[in-house]
Amino acid sequence: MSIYGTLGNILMVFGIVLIAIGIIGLHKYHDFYIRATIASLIDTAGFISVAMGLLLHHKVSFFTLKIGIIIMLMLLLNPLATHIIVRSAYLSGHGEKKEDKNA
Amino acid sequence: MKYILRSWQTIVISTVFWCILNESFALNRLIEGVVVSVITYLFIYFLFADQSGTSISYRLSILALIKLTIILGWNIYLSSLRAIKIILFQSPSPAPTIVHVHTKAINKWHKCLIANAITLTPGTVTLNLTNDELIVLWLYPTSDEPNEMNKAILGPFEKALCERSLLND
Amino acid sequence: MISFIMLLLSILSLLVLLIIIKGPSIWDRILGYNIFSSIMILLIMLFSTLHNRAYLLDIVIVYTLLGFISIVFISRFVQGKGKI
Repeated sequence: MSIYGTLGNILMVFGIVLIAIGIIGLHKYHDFYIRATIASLIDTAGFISVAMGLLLHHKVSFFTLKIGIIIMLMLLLNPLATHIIVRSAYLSGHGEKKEDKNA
Repeated sequence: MKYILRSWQTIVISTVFWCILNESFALNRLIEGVVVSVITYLFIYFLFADQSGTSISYRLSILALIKLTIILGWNIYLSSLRAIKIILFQSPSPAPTIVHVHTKAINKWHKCLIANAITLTPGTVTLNLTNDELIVLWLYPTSDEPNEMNKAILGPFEKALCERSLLND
Repeated sequence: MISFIMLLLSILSLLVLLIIIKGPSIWDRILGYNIFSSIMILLIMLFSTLHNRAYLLDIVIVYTLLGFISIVFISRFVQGKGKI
């Protein structure tokens, strides 16, 4: 196994650890807004780590170019999805007690 | 014809996308890709851009894009380590607050990129974007002053889209 | 190595399904669906690397776009209380 393969394996294991810690956090807290901020730990950091580790296993070909397209699409679309979910919860007044406590 | 010449970058990017999906860079694939992307671009232009009156320019220099990507990657891992520390070692549950932040960017496209980058980093989520005010949900608030909040939330991303390109257009 | 990572990811995706079942409000469930679909995308990419089948990546692109559009419409539907 070349040096790129071992580097990719290390990155993938790091991404798995990030996803596992994010899921522990989702089960620990029960407030929606804390869950929404923690969810991007899984969606972006873990996803980028595992996909980059997968990218290092191959030489440059159409396979890796397609994986690059998928990474770009997820980087553009995933924060939009999180933003739309949290915005719909905020505009329809979910969890208004918390805002009263702060103000 | 002038619509096509004005935005040749979009057509080039769509043609490369078509060629990667077809897994070949042969000549007939290139011609097919150019025809399909020109038709798609004209549809999108006449359907969406004319209604709002002013069309948005999606211009961005390549140097600023590379700088933004590097700074974004560094910030994602930095703040994910901070979030891991909060999840594993902090016993009382954190209190996320909703703060208002003013941005210096003028262009709509730069504002969109900044809001996207804020949502990408773990710990902050953009809720709404009005004229030049961002409403941000923040997991671990460190200060209440507007200047400190500005520097902590969107300082690195505004520095990446450098001042010269902010003032031009 | 890749099959071991696939095993770990499928166990974690079962834990995310537990959030979708248990979550008190509907927004928790939509958030769980978002995370579950991103883990599924990772699983399909690992599978296509393991068996060297490039056509599965096209399915991944279509799945990404459909998941995004479905999340947008569901959350708009819930926000407008029945009207989009």
